[in-house]
Amino acid sequence: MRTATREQAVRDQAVREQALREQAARAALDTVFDPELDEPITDLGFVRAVTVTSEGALTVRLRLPTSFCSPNFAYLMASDSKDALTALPWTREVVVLLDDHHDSDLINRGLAADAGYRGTFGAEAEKDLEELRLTFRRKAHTAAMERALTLVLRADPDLTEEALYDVVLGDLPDTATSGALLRRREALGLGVAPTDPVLVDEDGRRYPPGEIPLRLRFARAVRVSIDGNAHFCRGLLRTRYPQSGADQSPRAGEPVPTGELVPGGQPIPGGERVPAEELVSGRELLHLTAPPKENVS
Amino acid sequence: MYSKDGENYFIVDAHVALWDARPENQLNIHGKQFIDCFYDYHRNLSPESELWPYEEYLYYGGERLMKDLFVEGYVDHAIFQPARLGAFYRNGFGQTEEAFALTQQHPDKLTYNHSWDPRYEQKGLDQLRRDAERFQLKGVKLYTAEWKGDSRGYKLDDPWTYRYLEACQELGINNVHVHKGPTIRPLDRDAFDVADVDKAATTFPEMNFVVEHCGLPRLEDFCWIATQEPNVHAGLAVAMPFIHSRPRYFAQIIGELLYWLDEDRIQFSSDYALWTPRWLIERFVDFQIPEDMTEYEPITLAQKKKILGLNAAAMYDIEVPAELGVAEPAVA
Repeated sequence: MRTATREQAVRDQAVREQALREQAARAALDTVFDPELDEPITDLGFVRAVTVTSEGALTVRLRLPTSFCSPNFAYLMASDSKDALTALPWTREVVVLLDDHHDSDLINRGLAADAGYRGTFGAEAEKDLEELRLTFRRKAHTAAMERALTLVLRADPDLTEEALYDVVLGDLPDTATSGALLRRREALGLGVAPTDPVLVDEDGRRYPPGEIPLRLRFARAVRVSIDGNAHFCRGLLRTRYPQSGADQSPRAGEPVPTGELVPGGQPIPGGERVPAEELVSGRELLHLTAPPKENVS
Repeated sequence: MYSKDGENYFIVDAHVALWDARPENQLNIHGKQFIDCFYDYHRNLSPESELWPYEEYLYYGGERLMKDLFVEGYVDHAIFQPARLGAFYRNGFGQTEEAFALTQQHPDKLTYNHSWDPRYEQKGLDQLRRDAERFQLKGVKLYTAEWKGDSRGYKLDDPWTYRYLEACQELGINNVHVHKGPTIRPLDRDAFDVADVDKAATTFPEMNFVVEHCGLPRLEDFCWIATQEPNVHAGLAVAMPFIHSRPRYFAQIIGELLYWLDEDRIQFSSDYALWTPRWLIERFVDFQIPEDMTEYEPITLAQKKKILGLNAAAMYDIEVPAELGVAEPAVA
């Protein structure tokens, strides 16, 4: 019976290999963000299925909260997914499919042909989506800055808003909120030295102290808008795909940094993913250090 | 009129529709996708007791509309804001003839706004003049993400849009309700960006620009332009039902609007039949900014009265019984 045992062992090894690859694929998708909501598509529940064949062919299906989510953002997330998956060392054939969207056929054709944004949208595309991406990186930075500075103000009731002028990155506590701000700054090419001021515009320039209350107020509106959209989109996804709730991770004050969420992709029977926060205990700490969120109502 | 605790509220529902999304009116899959998207909004944000069956949601007709708004819904006056969606529905989404006939039957209760699309250029401009006369238009509803041929959107500062706005001004159509959707041409841009509303509002200072769902999902960009342009207003379509599903988020929206705009430039709407007005009005009258949200002032009784009806009444010259006004009149 030794042959049978060896065959069994080979099969087990193949199954393990496939599971590991599926896990690696999900980890790669953790690096793909919804630019509007500033969260990984995995946490949002946008990844519907990941399948790897024994030959190494990888298929990922994505789903969105409505058929009428903006097609430019839908395309960005789908093409970023394909890029992230293609970069894995073992992938050969990568298929990314966007389900149930008004532009599913168009986008899926474009992805299959690696046609790029202009090749996909033809006459509707003018140049590229880089400016759109930049606009939302700036918004993400503004919101992260507001979260960090609101914590600073709450920690010291005597501090005036104008005095935030002098707050530098080195003054911020070592929390997830501060870490999130640093990553948003890096994404925009802003300095991350401890001596760099926190309250800056998109080009890293400080606002005059007299302008600070207004600028902070506007930053709050940006944060309210992004957080509100994120909660609405998550809810709509659950309404549209009732089983998607199990795939969503609660929105923290900021997304978990790339690389810390690797165990999040443990496959479980039925192919559903264990929500990341059940496996990563550190995730809870992030929740505690994030600014107070709206009550779930 | 709605009454509670000895206070009476004059109600204007500034954004209602009479749509037909039944399969026989759907031109293609997008007709189904569009109404399914609406139905998910409805299911996601409504209290369980207010949920409609899908079949009724596809088409409800004038009789039910009258009952939901005026018999059960406390509404004194409602304004049709139709979306045409000619690329998705055979006879359009908003039912022009049916809605206009209802308006003629109940001129004291209903106002009919029509829509136009600048991409029809001169032909559409001629049509606008005929429509203005036939419907006695005071306002128009513009859905900027309407699909037409290989274009799936337009901007308010496009040259042809300006020609249509000039015609509106000349014809006395001074209220422009802008509804931003997910597509725009070119797709390089953020379709929800309201910078074009800013430009149009500056160019046409005598016209009112009501941005529906108060700029959501770009609340911040909307607030930023509205604070600078006194003729930019916030319509509360879509924002209202958050009062049930996410009351703290609703408080933040109202708090931000009251801070950046002022209480004279915010208009209630149920967005019927996405939602029905009755429960929204009841909840809004009971609503208060949570005490721990110290960044926002509490909302006052006068502000609620203005938002629920007096602001839109002033904009549309709808007569308000003297005892239902507030000491300081709304200025729209």
